[in-house]
Amino acid sequence: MAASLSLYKPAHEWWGHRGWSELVFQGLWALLLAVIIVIFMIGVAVVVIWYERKIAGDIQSRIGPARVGGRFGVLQTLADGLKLFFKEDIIPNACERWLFVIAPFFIFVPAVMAWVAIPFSPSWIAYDLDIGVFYIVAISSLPQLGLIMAGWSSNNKYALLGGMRAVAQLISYEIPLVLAVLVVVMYANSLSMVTIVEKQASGWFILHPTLFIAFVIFFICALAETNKVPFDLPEAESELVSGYHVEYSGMRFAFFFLSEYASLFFLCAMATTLFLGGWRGPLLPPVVWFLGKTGVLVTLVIWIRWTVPRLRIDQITRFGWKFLLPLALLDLIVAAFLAVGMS
Amino acid sequence: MTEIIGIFTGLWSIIKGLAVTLYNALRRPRITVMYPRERPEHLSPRTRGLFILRRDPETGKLRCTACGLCEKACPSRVITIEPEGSGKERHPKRYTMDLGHCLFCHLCVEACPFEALAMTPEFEIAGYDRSINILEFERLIEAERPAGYTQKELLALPTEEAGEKAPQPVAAPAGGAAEPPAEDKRDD
Repeated sequence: MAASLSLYKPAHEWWGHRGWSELVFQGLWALLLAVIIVIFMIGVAVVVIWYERKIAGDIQSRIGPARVGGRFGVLQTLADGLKLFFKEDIIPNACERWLFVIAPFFIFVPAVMAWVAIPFSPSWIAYDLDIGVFYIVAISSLPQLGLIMAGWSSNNKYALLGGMRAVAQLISYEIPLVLAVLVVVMYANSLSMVTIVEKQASGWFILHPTLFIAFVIFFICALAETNKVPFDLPEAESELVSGYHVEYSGMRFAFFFLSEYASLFFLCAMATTLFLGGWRGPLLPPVVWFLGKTGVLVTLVIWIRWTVPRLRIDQITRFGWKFLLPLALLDLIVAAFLAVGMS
Repeated sequence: MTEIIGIFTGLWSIIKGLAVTLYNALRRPRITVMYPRERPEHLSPRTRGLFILRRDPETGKLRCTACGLCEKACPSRVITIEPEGSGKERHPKRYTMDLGHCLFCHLCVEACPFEALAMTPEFEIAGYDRSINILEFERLIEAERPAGYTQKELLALPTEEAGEKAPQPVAAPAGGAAEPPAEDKRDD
């Protein structure tokens, strides 16, 4: 068992001394981890949403949230979320009821699951999978199913167009994203997230030229994967009202919203792990370094979001297929030769 | 090739855009004023707020001749004038504005040939009663607002019978407007 949250060992021993069932312990442990991850994820989404609104305010010479929870409006998102949970959960008559009801969870659950393999510090990882990278890539392509389900089942032209665009865009950018990750895997010679961070002891991966290109590709694809401007076509307000979640309200909408911001933070965390040396850094504790680096990337994403305008769908697909994909392939080939030369 | 050049010029333009937003993000002070807690320090003199009837600075008489042009210019029939006297002596006996349906469109001010009617930056004219929207003659006449008074104290000053001779400060330029309800430190 490779579960390596630092509490695992003492808890396991304590349970063993009582002579209670091993199976029950594993079940309870998994449940505990799941609860921690869900709470962490919702907390992160709440903070990131507040942070984005504050930065948006700064950029537009406004103030942003300033009333709920002190001068800086820290609890604004919590208040908004609470309000959403008390709102009526409207299910349209003409929708595909079953698909409509479960679609938000198809987006929310993978967003939670992916956190399992992210190392916050040498010992703070829910489960150090040997195939961590592969697992994350596989899990993070699941939400697209949820998007198309939401878009289709709403029985609404805007939702359908939004869902279609979302899937077209996500699939286009998933490929260069995975190729960029593959470059890292070749250098690290491992699929385990912990090993990848440990391989960066001599220097962050972003300092290699080929890996720097891979990072740029990964970052652009991460913007596209999280539907952030300039790739926010699936929820283009001026064209599609709000895209695939037009018909959703109340709690179900909150799930879409939370997962969107949680996955933004998640992709930044993944970029930190793969390229920026994960938890590595002097003096401060590893978790602080990890969250700090991720926070810097999140700031960059938000900054870009409030700067650039939206692209057209043909520009997005052309950029993805005709520039990003060949560049990623080229980078992969060069990196392969270099990696062979190194070993 | 043009495609690749386009990518790099695009990248450069994004960086320039990021510089612009960064500059704006760091710029102080911000434009927002957290109203009940802070107040706008300097409103433009052209702000379309409460009306006043102006006096001639030399003679101290009202400029208004009750010609009725403002009454005609008003699209919402806010103004009602009762004239008194004739010829050079013509002046308003009563001049009433019902701001309840005023658009603050400024047309009455533009219509006036004597610049007798004007707008001030005074904007806190809301209240809890519809009757306070109706501005009587006395409340409209230009007051040299005594300096150093708060809004509350100004309202508490005794209203003088506004004659044409005495250019005395007339209290309550805000038309009896109550305090803005959130004036107290209710918020945070």
